[in-house]
Amino acid sequence: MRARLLIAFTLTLTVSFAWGKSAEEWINDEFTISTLSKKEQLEELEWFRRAAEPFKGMEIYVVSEPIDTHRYEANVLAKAFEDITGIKVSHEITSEDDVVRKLLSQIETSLNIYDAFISDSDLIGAHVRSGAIYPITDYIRGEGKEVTLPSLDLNDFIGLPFTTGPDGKVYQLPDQQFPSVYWYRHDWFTRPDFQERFRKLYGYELGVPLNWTAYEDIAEFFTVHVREIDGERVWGHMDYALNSPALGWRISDAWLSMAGMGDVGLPNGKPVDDWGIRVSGCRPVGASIERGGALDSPAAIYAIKKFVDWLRFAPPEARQLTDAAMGRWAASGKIAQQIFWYTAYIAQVTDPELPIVNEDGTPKWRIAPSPLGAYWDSGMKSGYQDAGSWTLTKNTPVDRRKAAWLYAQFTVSKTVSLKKTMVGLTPIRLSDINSTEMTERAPYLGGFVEFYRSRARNYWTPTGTNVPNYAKLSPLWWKHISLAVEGKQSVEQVMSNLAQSMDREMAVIAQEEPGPCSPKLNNKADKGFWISLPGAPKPKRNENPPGRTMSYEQAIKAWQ
Amino acid sequence: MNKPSRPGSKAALIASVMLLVMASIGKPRAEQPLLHILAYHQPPYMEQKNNKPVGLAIDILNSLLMRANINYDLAFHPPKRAYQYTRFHIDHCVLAIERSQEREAQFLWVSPILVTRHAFYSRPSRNGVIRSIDDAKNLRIGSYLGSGAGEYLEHYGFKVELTTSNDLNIKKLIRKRLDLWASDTISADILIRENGLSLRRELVFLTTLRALACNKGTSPDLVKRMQSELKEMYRNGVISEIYSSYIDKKNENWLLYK
Repeated sequence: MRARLLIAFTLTLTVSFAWGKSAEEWINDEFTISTLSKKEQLEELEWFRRAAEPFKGMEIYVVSEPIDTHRYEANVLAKAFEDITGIKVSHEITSEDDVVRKLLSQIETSLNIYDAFISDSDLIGAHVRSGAIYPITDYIRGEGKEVTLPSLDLNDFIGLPFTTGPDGKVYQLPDQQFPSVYWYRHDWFTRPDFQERFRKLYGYELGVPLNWTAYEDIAEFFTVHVREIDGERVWGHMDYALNSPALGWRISDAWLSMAGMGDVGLPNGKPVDDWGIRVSGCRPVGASIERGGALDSPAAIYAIKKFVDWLRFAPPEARQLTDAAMGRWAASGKIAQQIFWYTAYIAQVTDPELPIVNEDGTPKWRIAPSPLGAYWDSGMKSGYQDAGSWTLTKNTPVDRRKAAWLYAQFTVSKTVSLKKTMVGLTPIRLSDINSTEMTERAPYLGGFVEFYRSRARNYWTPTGTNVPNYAKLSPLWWKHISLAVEGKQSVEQVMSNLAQSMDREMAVIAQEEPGPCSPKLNNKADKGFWISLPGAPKPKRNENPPGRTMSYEQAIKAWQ
Repeated sequence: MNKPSRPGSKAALIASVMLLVMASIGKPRAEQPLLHILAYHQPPYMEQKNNKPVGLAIDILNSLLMRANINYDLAFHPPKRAYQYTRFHIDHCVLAIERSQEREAQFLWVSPILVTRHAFYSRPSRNGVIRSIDDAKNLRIGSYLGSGAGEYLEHYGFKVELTTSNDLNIKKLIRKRLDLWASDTISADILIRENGLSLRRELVFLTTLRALACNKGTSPDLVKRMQSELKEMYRNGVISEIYSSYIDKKNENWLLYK
């Protein structure tokens, strides 16, 4: 009986639209690797075809940020979905800040700008407070029950803790994930002549830096002492500091946590998180030390001073760049190490034609745990992980939301997920991470697979729920930090102003968006009071401990 | 053709139509305008009819600034010039440009004045269908100087040819000097109708928030006041009411007013 049914819907799926391909053709030509069998893939696609029937002919609009994974969705998966379901998808790719502004506009104006967003889970704090987002947990039990894929398998998604609110509800469905890690030229680091020279200069081994002292020493070593390799100018550090929203994320994506500013706790420090915002219960109560926060604390100032100071070890162009250029710069063969490097660009550094890839396709580079700052304590998050996730707003018309939900599930379905993961290298499913295909690819990805197969994937985490309204607060970062980069204000002044601005904006949010978890600022108290208490804000420490390094093999054991 | 004159110059004062818009209703105001708004011709959002500025964006602007109790004057210029002039002159704002991450640090923003969708248009006789944005790679795409959508396409490596105004692209497309024309769907519909043409709408590739973009030296409090009023106008139905006098119920592209 099952065989006959399979034949029946195989025949159905073979019939395609005039311009398109059948489901079977898509499986044979594109979705050639999957954790499902071909029969299961056909069954899954048949479910999509049937579930989409009421929406055939509809044109829906979705938006996401410009990374390889989303380009694959926009250029390949949207076509496959249309061929199979008859729903046309305009899958827009736009800069991350635009995604954030558009989501905020959709909520504030009630215009249905998009039928669904792929928006970072960093906004979870706003979603749990605003009531404007349809929690996925509620959706699949209610309105979306009929259009929820039976084989969706939510437990297979590794990023679900990041998109789950304190109320236990899943607010967003992860679509892609990538951490920011330490990237370095393993071939240079293991050269005996460099190792000996480094040891003579700094008194310890050249290796994966465990702390910021070692990172700084290695940056100086390559930029100042080595200077040239094979006649090419090389640099011991790379970063980006253009005055733009990307500069804000460079810092707000857990840089202060890496320095050690916040409290211990996963996925984010409690009560003080990596934005320096303290909560009491679920209420944000302040970002400045005077209100119990840590955004102007010694650890935060140290973090920004190092960020600005280290630009002297980077190519001069760094001040005019955003993160979008970091894959290209790493690929150029001029960079020895980068402390903050999004693996979203990993596909750009694996081309065998590049000078940083061996002839057999294995990389000359590696990724490893990011070195940590002088204020970091055991039990804190170790870095940032982006979790771009499908987000449904309540103001979208019901039918359009259902059609968009079908497309969302299609892009993460097991039929397509492994192929998408191999193209964009932003894994979301444990089944993909543990697949044979991923094992075979591991030697070519410089530690990336090891990261996702380890506990590390839980220690690199997105922005959390302390941030009450990400879209409103995030512009403060780049607007203030740029003044330090440009030397217009001292770092101390910048962080003091930033903390005050954050407090003021939270006070406005408290007025505009009242609720049981809206901000309620603490009264100002003497800074010494808060500093004297355990945890963040932390008192000043020795910011220049001895440099410490490890071999790559030892360093990635920390991930196990 | 006369060389366009620089905004603010004597020639510009003569050449451009300066339209001092003072409040005729509402609270009494100071005589000096607080803001100088530069707009550009893009029906049905912004245009001059009988020497009067009209259009959807103009109506929203009028209502917004009246509610915020801000005096202003308004002048029309080519889009790129309006954009550049505003960047370097305090108390100037440009209406209604596309807000984007790449432009974000250049202005102080009041948005969204409008939300517009941008699509590719082709001659009906052209072979092939644009189903994804990459299908337009290697094709000659027409846009205009100052267009956020044009900048977007250039940023992502598309072959974009820029004209001084959007309407010129339609002629280039018909003469096969372009493969595709990239335009917002509402003004494209009008231009296509005015020219008595039949073009094929291909993929919608970008939706933009159209904004009042103000010089960075503009008072932040003034900008906050405008943003707050705009938000209120969406909330209390004023925007919807303004839209209703423009809406073409047969044209689903207008659905964004809802």
